[in-house]
Amino acid sequence: MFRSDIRRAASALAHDVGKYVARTARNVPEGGWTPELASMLVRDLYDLRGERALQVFLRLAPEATSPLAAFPEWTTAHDLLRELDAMEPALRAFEAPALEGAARLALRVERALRELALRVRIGAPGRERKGRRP
Amino acid sequence: MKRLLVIEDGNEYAEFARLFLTGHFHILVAQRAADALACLRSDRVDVLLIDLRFDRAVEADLVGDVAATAKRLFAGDRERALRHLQDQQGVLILAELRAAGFGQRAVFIHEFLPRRMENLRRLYGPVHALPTFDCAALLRALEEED
Repeated sequence: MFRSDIRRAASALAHDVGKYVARTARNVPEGGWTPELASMLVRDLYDLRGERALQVFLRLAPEATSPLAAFPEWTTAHDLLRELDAMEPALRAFEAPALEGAARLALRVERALRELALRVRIGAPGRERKGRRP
Repeated sequence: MKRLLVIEDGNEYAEFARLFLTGHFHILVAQRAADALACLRSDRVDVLLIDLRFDRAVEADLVGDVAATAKRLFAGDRERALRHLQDQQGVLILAELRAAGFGQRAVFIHEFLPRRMENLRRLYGPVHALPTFDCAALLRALEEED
């Protein structure tokens, strides 16, 4: 894999997963969940551009083949997304404590993926495989 | 009321804008450069909100020549060239809009590195970027005067 492909995958994770899972979570005032906002959060997590956020994450950076899976930020985001997946029934029932908890987790996913993208882009030490530039 | 043109290949930005910005802006939407240009020529638009990655856009809708990009940057690899054009499509669309004479402030929701941001401003004038969907910060970025 080219190094530029690894950077591209990390950037795609930050854009296609991190940014969108936190789209609603960041902007809900405390105690201010409305059905419209709750529905949008559910879409951010389980119908993110037509897929579940965890599916998008694993499609862009599969555990078995992506060099990104060696980074701790990948593991953090993966674990949080699995936790969010398990919360789906409570979120679809618009249970307020679950919505607030999910929003906090979503923001942590975003942070982990921004850190991963930044680490890969600036060439900080990582364990990715090196590739020849085209 | 100011008029905001959202340019994206999906509907996530527009959905966000309609939910969080409607009280501040009249929202217009375009899904490719040609539609954005048509909108700018027919409507008053005060500010642009542009997605960067157009990974769902088909080749025919993209700004940029896949074959030429493949030859110039990717040793003839069309697949990588297509991905590159999709990844940078928001900036390529902005370049088209600037070339057509539209200088409105443009805002991206993307974490550009500082050097890239400086370069974008040097090339395209009033360009701003936010790393996240942050309604308050986005409103400030959209409403500031350059």
